Formats: sequence, structure tokens, C-alpha cells
Amino acid sequence: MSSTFVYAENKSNGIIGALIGKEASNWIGLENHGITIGGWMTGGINYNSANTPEGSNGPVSMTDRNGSVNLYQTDLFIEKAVNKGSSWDIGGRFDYMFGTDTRYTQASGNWDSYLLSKNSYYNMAIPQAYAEIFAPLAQGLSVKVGHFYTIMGYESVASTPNFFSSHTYSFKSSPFTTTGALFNIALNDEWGLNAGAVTGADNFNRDIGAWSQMSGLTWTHSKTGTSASLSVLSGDVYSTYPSQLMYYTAIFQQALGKWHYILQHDLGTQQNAVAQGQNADWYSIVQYMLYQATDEWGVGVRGEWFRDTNGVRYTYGKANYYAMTGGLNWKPKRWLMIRPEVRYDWSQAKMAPFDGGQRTGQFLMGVDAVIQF
Amino acid sequence: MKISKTCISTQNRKIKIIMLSIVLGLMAFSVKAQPQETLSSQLKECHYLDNVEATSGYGKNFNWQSLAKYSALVKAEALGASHVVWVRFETVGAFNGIAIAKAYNCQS
Repeated sequence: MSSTFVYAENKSNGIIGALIGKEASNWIGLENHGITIGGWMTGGINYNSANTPEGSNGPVSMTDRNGSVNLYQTDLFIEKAVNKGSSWDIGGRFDYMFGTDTRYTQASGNWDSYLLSKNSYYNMAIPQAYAEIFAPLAQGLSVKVGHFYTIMGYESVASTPNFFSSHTYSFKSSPFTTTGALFNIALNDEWGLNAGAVTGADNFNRDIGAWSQMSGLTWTHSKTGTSASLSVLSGDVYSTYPSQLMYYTAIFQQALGKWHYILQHDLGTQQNAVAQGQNADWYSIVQYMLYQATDEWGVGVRGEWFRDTNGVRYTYGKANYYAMTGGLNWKPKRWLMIRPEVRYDWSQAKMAPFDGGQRTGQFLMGVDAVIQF
Repeated sequence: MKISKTCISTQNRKIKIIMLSIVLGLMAFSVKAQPQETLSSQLKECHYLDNVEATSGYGKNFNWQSLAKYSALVKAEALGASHVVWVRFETVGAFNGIAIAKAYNCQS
């Protein structure tokens, strides 16, 4: 084995760079211009103890098919990250996604809804397509314009930053993407502020007259590993009648050496969401405790309580959903992550949510693999 | 079962008190990473230990640099470092990244 190969194997985050010794961006000289081409592929399988006849793990989202191997997402991106230094810079990013997760990530309006068959589990999405400008004003000011992931929540649509394969109820009920302009300013090393005007949650141009504000404040402290953030999205869903959606996410993180604790609280309200004159609200608390034993091995647990007060986020009426998840995170290579997990969900709902309305709880075992290119 | 608004607000207050107690309790137990951040031009009589590289961890983190810094400082401390010099920060997606530093022991 040559020393060049060893270096590539050790340092590349992608399988292409690790095996060939040259990143994809280098093939046509794009890396010299600060442009990165990359991606990842995530696939896995779940086993549901109820052996559901329709093969559904619902209302669990994304990892929602029982007993079959699924390609959750294949994401290909091209990015020019802005250099947040002492001079102006311009960049942007475009993500194309294919897989079963895209059913949840598409935006309404004339964007990426049902690029393939409406009834197919496999579909396509374009979760991000934006330009970004950085200005060396104050401690650094940048603005994104286009379609991009929201600043809400701890879990990510993209598989790569998530500890667990499955997702929370809170995640599925939060805004994934939005369209518009988002400003970010670093107030100092610890404080960051976001503020923007967007077309609402998971919407491109369904109702172009209905705008929302999205803002957030983040505080992090590098000496103690403490972080706290509050993000808010609020505005009318439709321009034709009062339909204000207000959604906030508050996240607290505390690193304790190899331990990492995360507490997330979300709350959403929407005017006239149930019927004319009947508003809806939902809220949740999610806690994570992760232990990163080595660079390769991590173990974690996640507990969630999700309250769907009016039964608008899921279709089982007024309900409390609870979920406990335990899992491992194994990274034998920099470009490979394997995530086995066990999960138990139970509920107090008007209608039984699991196994096609037969059960109030379900046990899931799953594993997936994330391969970065 | 009909639940009064007073009962709900009492429950919400209890939840918030519990959450605040968890936050304050954990912050009280947090331990400062000891290595000092410095510039290479300011190093004097220092022994280079190793390069350290750490990620901002899991999840979406808008100010990911601070979390990556903390992880790198913890790694440097485990090596016995008294000082670190930041080499670079690499963005990974919109919400994550890697901090790379050189770890030194300047106490001898």
C-alpha cells in the first residue's frame, strides 16, 4: 500500500477520495476555485414487532417501512462555501436528493413536489438551491437567498449529522425547508443572530402573498461546551384568511467531556387549522444523551414526548406520543457510518396510531448505513 | 376527560421548572477545557505534541465552530496540552464542521 493511499484513506471524508486518492472536486480542477462536489447515500432496514400487514411503521416518519431494505436518501451537492474572512465573498449550494425520505422534504408550489409518480415511495427533491454573500461588516454578515434548510430543530433532513437513523415526532412536525432570504450576523465569538423573510414552512410559491419571518439567536461557549438557541418562524400560511403559523424551537446543549446532553423544546400553533375559528397547537420535549467513547464508537439514548393537542400533526386525534430510542454509532471509516438502533413507541390517543389502528404501541429495530462520496 | 386551563398552565409551569433545573444543573457540572488558545507567533519554549482534529458533533448547529473548538480543546487536554494554535475550520454542510489545531505543552 503506498503512502499516498494511506494519507488519502486517513484524511478523506468521502469514499472516492479514500479509494482513488483524489476528491471528486479535483477531477476537473474545481477545488482550486473553492468549489466542492460531494454527496452521500443512506440505506437501511427496519423490523416491526407487530409485523404490520401494510408494511408501515407509521406514524414514525422516514424510517417508515417494515421489513424491506430502502434507500432513504442519495444526495449529490455542489457547493462554494463562503470564506468568512476579512473580504467580501460569494458562494452557494445546490442539493439534489433521491430516495424514500424525499416524500417528506418536498416543498409545496412549483418546485420539487412529485417530480416522479405521486404514489411512489421513491421520489426526488431539491432541498437546497441558494446563493450566499458574505460581507466583512461587524464580526461578519452573510445572507442566503433561495431555497434552503430552515434553522429550526436539532435533527437534520440530511442523514450525515444525525446520531440516530430514525427521527422524532417533533422533527416530522417542524419546518424542513423554506424559500426567501436569511441574514446571519456573528455578534461576537459566542453570539449569532439570524433574521429573514421567507415563504413559510416547506413552501416554495404555493401562496406567494403569504410571507413569514424566520429568526434565531444562538449562544455557544467553546470553553465549557455549552450552547443555547431559540429559533422562531411565524407568518400566514395562506394570504386569503387568518392562518398564522407560529413555530419555535429552543435547544440547550451541554458537552461534558465525552458525554453530550441535548434538550429540545418545540411549540407550534396555527390559526384556524382545525376548522374556521378552531386553532391548533402541538408541542414536544426531546432529550438526548450521547457518549462518544472513541472517534469510531458512540452510544446514545433519546426520549421524546410529543403532544398533538388537536390532532392536526398526525391523524389519530388528540394524542400524546412517547418514544424511547437507544442506538450505536459506528464509524469504521471517515466515509462510512453505521447506525443500529432499537426503539419503542407508545401513545395515549383518541385512535390507536400503530399497526393500522390495532395497537397503541410498537417496537422497532433498525439499522442503516451512510456512505459519503 | 375535561381538563381546566388552570390545570394545563400548572402543568406547563412544572415542565418549564424541570427543564430549567436540568439546564442549570448541567451547566453547574460543566468543566472548562484547560488549554489556552494562542497564536503560533506567541509560543515560547513550547513542545509540540500533536495535531488535534474534532467535529462539532451531531445535529444542526448554526454556531458549530464553538462546539468543534470545545471538542478539540478536550482532545488537546487529554494529550497534556497547555496551549493550542488553531490551524483551520472546515465547513461540513450548513450546520457542522471540523476544527483542526496544533497542541503544545508550554509549561516545562
